[in-house]
Amino acid sequence: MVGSGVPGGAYFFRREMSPFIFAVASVLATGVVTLRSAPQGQVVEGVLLLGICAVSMWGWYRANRLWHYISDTPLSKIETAAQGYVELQGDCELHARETQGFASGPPCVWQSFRVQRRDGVLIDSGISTEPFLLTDKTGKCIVNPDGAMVLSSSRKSWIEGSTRYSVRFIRPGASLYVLGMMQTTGGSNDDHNRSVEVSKLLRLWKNDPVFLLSEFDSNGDGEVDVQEWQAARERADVVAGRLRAERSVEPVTHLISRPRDGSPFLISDKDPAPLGRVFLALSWLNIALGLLTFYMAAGRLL
Amino acid sequence: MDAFGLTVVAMLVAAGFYVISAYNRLVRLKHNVKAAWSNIDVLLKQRHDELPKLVTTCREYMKYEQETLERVTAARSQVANALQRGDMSELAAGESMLHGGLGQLFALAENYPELKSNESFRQLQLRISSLENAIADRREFYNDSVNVNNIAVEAFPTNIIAGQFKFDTASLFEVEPSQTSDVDMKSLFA
Repeated sequence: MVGSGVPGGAYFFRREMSPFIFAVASVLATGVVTLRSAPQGQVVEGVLLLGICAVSMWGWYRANRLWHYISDTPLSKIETAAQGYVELQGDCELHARETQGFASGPPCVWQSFRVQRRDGVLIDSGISTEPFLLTDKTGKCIVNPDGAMVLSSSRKSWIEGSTRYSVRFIRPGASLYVLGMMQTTGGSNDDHNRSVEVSKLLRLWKNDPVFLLSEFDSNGDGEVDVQEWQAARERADVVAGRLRAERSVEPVTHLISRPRDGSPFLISDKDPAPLGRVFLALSWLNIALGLLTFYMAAGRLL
Repeated sequence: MDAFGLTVVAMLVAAGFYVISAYNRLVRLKHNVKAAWSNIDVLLKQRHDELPKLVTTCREYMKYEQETLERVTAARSQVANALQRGDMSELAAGESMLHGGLGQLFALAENYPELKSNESFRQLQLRISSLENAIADRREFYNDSVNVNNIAVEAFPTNIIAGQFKFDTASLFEVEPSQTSDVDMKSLFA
């Protein structure tokens, strides 16, 4: 499915930019304070330079954060990956449905497109949200690209009449790197902890006194004594074992998707090491540009 | 204040942001190591629960392999004790011993057709082998997490922040090379 607009844009603004708003606001406030005494022409230049400085600092924050997440998250294998934030690498495949390439292009696992007039006005844009598969030597994982930052080196653009088309895409079989939140359902689920399951059941029963008394108050005194509680524990253990056995016959499904805690969700057809170096270089470039433009702005506004 | 002075102030503000970011990174890395360890710990406990069932099943059929069975049981206890004490070197030694014992046990089981055809044994063998593989993979992941953390704690300039806020390096979970290599079948039947 290709939807209009750019899902994830608002997400990135909320999650990634919010800590930075304070810094940007401080820089702009400094500009406003120094505006009063400056001559008119230099004021405009100074404010523009401050704007560039703010964008550079935002870029520094974003690039530095991504570099750290890429270099600090060790690679996991799909079949034995722990539940949570992981880094996976493998080849991509089509999943349940294929995404038809833009403008009758060949099928792809992911794509985004922009249609613009020659003067740059945006007419239409879209990004695919259809899940696809990532496979490594150990297993397969479904990737839900909704809300992901996708860095694809495959791109195409062409002009037809007065319209310019640009497409970025990932073809089936491409080598992919994914950083995101992994969840596994079904199978024996190695992370399943029986004692935790038993505690959960007991808590659930404890919160339902009617059920607890009707099932375990064997002497009918309106209370669950130590012996009756032990019986409840034993029953919970049996139920936990049965639930686990039922789950173990379900097929194992691994899913990687956008983390809810605001950590980056990145999909790229580049290797993590060079990708990390690109973000590191970008962070240095941005901080250097930010400080330079700040110095130039201060020179014009003071 | 002139432009240069103001730029120096801006650089100090940027340095402040860097310190906050580096501190948060060290916190995140410390928790990554803890989470990676929990992921191994849960599997070690599951294997700990499964091993007595395997030994009991094998004991019924393998009358002449008591030494191997006892080796597995002793290694299991060593791993459990090391886990309780948080002693990584003892844990690594116990893991090596247990891995060797299990390899030997599964190899010797080939000599007992009745045991091999026992459904319970087959399921336990499958389960324990899959747990062993998962432990090996997660050990690799844990060691990678430890390396990332230790480099951040020791490398300049994050070592200054790590020293100020008492961030420590973590211990690697290293096992003897014999555990990561295949079982030497020749030596088992020599």
